Amino acid sequence: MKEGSVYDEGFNDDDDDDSILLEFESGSDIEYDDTGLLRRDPGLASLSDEESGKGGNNGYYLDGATISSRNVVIPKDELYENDGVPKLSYRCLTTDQIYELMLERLERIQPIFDISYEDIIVLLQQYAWSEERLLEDWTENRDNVIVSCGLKLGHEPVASRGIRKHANFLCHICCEANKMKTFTLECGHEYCLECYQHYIKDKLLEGKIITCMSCPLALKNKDIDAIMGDNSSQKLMRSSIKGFIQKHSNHYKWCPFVDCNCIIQVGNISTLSEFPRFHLSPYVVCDNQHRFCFKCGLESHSPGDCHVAELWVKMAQLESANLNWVLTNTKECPKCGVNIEKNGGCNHMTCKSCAYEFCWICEGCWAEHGGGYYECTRFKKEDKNGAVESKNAIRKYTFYYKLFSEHENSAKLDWSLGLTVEQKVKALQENIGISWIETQFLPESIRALIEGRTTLKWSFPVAFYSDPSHNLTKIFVDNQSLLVSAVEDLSQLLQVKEPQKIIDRKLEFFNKARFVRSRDKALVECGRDLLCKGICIPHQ
Amino acid sequence: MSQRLAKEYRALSKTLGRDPEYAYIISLAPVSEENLRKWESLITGPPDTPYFGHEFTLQIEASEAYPLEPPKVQFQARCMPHCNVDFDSGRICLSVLDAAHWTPAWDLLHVVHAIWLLLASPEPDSPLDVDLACLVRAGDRSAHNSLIAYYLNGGSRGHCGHVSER
Repeated sequence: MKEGSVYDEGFNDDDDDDSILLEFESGSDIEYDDTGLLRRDPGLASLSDEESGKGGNNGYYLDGATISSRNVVIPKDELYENDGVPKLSYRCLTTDQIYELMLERLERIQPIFDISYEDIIVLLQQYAWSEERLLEDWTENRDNVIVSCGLKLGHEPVASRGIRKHANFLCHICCEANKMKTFTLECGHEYCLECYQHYIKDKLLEGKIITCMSCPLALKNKDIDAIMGDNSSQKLMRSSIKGFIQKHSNHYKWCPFVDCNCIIQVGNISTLSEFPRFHLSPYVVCDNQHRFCFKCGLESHSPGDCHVAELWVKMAQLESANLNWVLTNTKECPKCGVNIEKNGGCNHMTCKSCAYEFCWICEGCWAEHGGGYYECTRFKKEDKNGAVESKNAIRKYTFYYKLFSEHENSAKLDWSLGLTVEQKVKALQENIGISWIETQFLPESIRALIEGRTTLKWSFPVAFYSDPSHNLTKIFVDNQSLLVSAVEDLSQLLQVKEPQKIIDRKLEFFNKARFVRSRDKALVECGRDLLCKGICIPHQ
Repeated sequence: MSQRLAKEYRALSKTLGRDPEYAYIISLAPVSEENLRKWESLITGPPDTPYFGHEFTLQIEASEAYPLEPPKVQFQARCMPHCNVDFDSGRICLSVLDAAHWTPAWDLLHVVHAIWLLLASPEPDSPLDVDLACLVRAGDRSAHNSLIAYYLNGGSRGHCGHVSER
């Protein structure tokens, strides 16, 4: 392995030049299996090692002890599989880690600016974390940046920053007299502490700089903490991290699973665009074992590709009144994909997260509304033909959707089953006295089960869009039923509770989990074949 | 916060009618003294605009959280032909009325003044009335002004504003 070679290769591959990228810090064990999809192994000797053993030629292990160095090491020639299937290198971060990395980053750029960290944070927040743009303006007109970002007044200060005590102060916001404590910045706009507290509380979640209530002078973190009397500025920084990740959504994505706060950072984002060509998706697994697609942000949806998943989900949304509302009342920002609700105002929309300006009607760039200005408003009449025609299609869809949601429900049950596995492992250790490492076939079986169930679930959209008369479709359906029985078998086995019985049937666990894995893989391959050969054509 | 609106009311009764800058405001007061959250204002159109000589009613509602939240302000429905006002509802697209741009240091007088200034300088980049915005964008002042005059004088299903007697 060549130390550091990949860092140059992958992680400086910065698409939007004006971004700060937090560098990969410590490698976690990364392994590629021979389907070209990426899997992360928790670093334990587990069934999957054996399963993917033959992929060991292409894949590799990084020993946890040897990679305390900063960079993840991936041999150059390993960036692509033999058949040209792209590989992804990524890692999982927590918000705390992101925050730490941001601070580290600040430390490194601080000498350039030669102002305090707090001031740089203010600057970066004002510049939506695009460091390049800030540096450009900074070198061009430093004083201007300082004033426009609210770090200093354009004129001489008229007051000193901080909390003041009074005997009887009349606050102009709440118009109540007898205020004892007030706060002011150098601008001299003085308001009572209660008003400032209410004002700040509302703004903390926005992740943007909080200014004086009367002028653009910025409150710094220590002012916020002084006013609120606690460490509220941390909350603001947390919200700011959200902004940072949204701004750099090419590189970072939140894990889409409920209550999971993991963030996945992909190093070699240039490979992302190569996945669709192979009808593959860039899957990543977070530290909580949630597997999801980095491209579309959905859970693992193989054998379908992102296109299948997207159309399927769109269709499912039409079914549900709740999501229907989202569809009719919100639109995705054409640039960054954030859902936007239009709650008033005109059609000139500005995305809060990426500041892209667009037209609500045609979703086109606002600046390009020249010539036939606002034309889009007049020609927005959808014809409602084909309503009868689609009825049959809907019936077919409902059939597949039922299967899909049944497996979705089962997957949820499996997931809660998986949560009990920890206790089972403990019971095995305590009651029978076997080592922890030997109990790992249990969590591994659960993983095989959940992944198999997910594959099964997403195989129905593929079947739905496939030509039913084709032979390969029939093979696909056969594969489906094989996986169904494999999954059900394993699921049943996992219901066993008594530690002794579990250990007695250890081999059975091995075999059944292995069988699910191989059926899973076969179905995924078969589905990909359908897509590659154009037998499965996703359509609306 | 309840004293804030009371104080604004007191301050306004001193300012209005004396300060020539706000001479265009005929009235700005709560609808009834029982409820200080609902206000109404009558203003005259700014000079050198097609609105001059007409009077317009603004409906103002301050929420419980005012002044931390902006007040809701709109024109009486079907009275204000303006490229940043929705004619049918009277809604206004103006940045200071947006929570993101509002600051508690502003008061109702500021808001009314900002709306009055908007009448003289339509902002075609944020249109609620596309036809008028097109005319502004095209630089066709006379067509823009006469279309407004047509509306104000009862065109397009009547109008409910009143022509000033003064």
